[in-house]
Amino acid sequence: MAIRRMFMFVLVGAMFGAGTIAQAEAESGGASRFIRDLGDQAIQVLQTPDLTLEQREDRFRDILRQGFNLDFIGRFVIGNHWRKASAQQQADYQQLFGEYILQTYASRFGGYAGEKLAISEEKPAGKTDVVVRTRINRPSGSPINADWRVRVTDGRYGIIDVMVQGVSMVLTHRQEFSGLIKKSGVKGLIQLLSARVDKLPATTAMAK
Amino acid sequence: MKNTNSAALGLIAAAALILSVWVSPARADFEAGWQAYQRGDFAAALKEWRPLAQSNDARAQYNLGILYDQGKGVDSDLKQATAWWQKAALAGYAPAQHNLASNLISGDGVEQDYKAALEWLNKASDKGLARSSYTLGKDVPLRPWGVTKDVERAFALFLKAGEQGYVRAQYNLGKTYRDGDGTEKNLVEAVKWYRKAAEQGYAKAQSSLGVRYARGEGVAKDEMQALMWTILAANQGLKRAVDDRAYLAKSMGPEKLAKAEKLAADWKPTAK
Repeated sequence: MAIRRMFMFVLVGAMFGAGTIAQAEAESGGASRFIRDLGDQAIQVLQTPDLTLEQREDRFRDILRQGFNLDFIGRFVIGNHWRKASAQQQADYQQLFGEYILQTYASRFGGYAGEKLAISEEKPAGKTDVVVRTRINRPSGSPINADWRVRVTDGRYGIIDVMVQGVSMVLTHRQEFSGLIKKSGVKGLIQLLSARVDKLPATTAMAK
Repeated sequence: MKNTNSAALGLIAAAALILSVWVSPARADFEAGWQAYQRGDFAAALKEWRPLAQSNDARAQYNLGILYDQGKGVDSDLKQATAWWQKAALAGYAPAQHNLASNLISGDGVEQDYKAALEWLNKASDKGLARSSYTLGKDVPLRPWGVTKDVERAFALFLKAGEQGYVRAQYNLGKTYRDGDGTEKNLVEAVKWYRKAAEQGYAKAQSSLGVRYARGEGVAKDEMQALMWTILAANQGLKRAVDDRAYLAKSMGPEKLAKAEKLAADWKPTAK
């Protein structure tokens, strides 16, 4: 849970720290620009005054959908269990996992402000990836180090992992899901995800 | 008589005044919490809603549960979320009944209990909560528990939620009518329900409506409408629509594609 919370801060930082990222642009390459662009789009959503919180979260969700390589993350998180799943289960899982990730993270973005993100460096990771190292400075509390692992797939940049203080977001999910799959199979995971994405948001509606 | 009347009126006025003074701070607190929530000041929302929740305001209990569930203004705590939803659910508040059922299915913050989940979903559906009717119709989360799919009941539940404007139920009605699954097969009805959801911007329904137009099934064949709806769905990232768009664009040529793209760009979703 703590990790997940940290991840929120990271994304929030990326979304809100566009100005700071722009300053770092001179020393950084394409992957940094990609992260900065996501931030720019988020700022635009924030500056649209008439939107409700739910609408802002919806738009954040669209921005995240563009930024994350959800297919890759989904496949990685489920690991070897992917091959044992039926085609229908694979399709259900990918759809639900994407929805779950976007909903979870977008629900935290709507109104937060104040975090600033500074890009410290960009370095290659393995043969295919680039890690954009960032530091998130918060109005209160100590700064957080976050590394964004970015990969080009089909000519497009996509975030495939975020490491907060060295802890990987995808590994954390993988660990949580692996225990569940062992206990109740892929169908158990699908059940968990469908229940989690089915919840209703806050409301002003009175009881009937 | 006249005196009695005016005395009675005076009493009523006094009672109304007392009532309004007594009721309005609570109302203002909830509203203040809601305004704070909309601004993204979740700590302030928490501060307004917690005392109301503690004095048994079901709506505040429900929203407090949301703050705990999503870790807004407070550390995420699924047990607290579930406990607040449980209180509001017992008071008969349908959205809390629905979310409590979700946690009973996922086992988040509470021991898994499908039987209890099903009971809460039925209660919320009976109160007219479209999302619960849809979830019961879909029954995906309940299947591992051994609830067998009752297609006729599913159809009735989708119809209930679809008529309330719930897009996912409308889309499923399109599929049920297309396949004759739990009701008589009717391609015109299928198009009607796909269209209701598509017009609200639901990508899957837009894609299905596009396919209906392309094939001329349940609606007069119209390749321009087919391509427009397919583009709208593809723009939302729906994979099957992305493939269909490429296929349709290839057969129709660049001029028609440009025209369909213009139609899609000008298109606006309708409200529920």
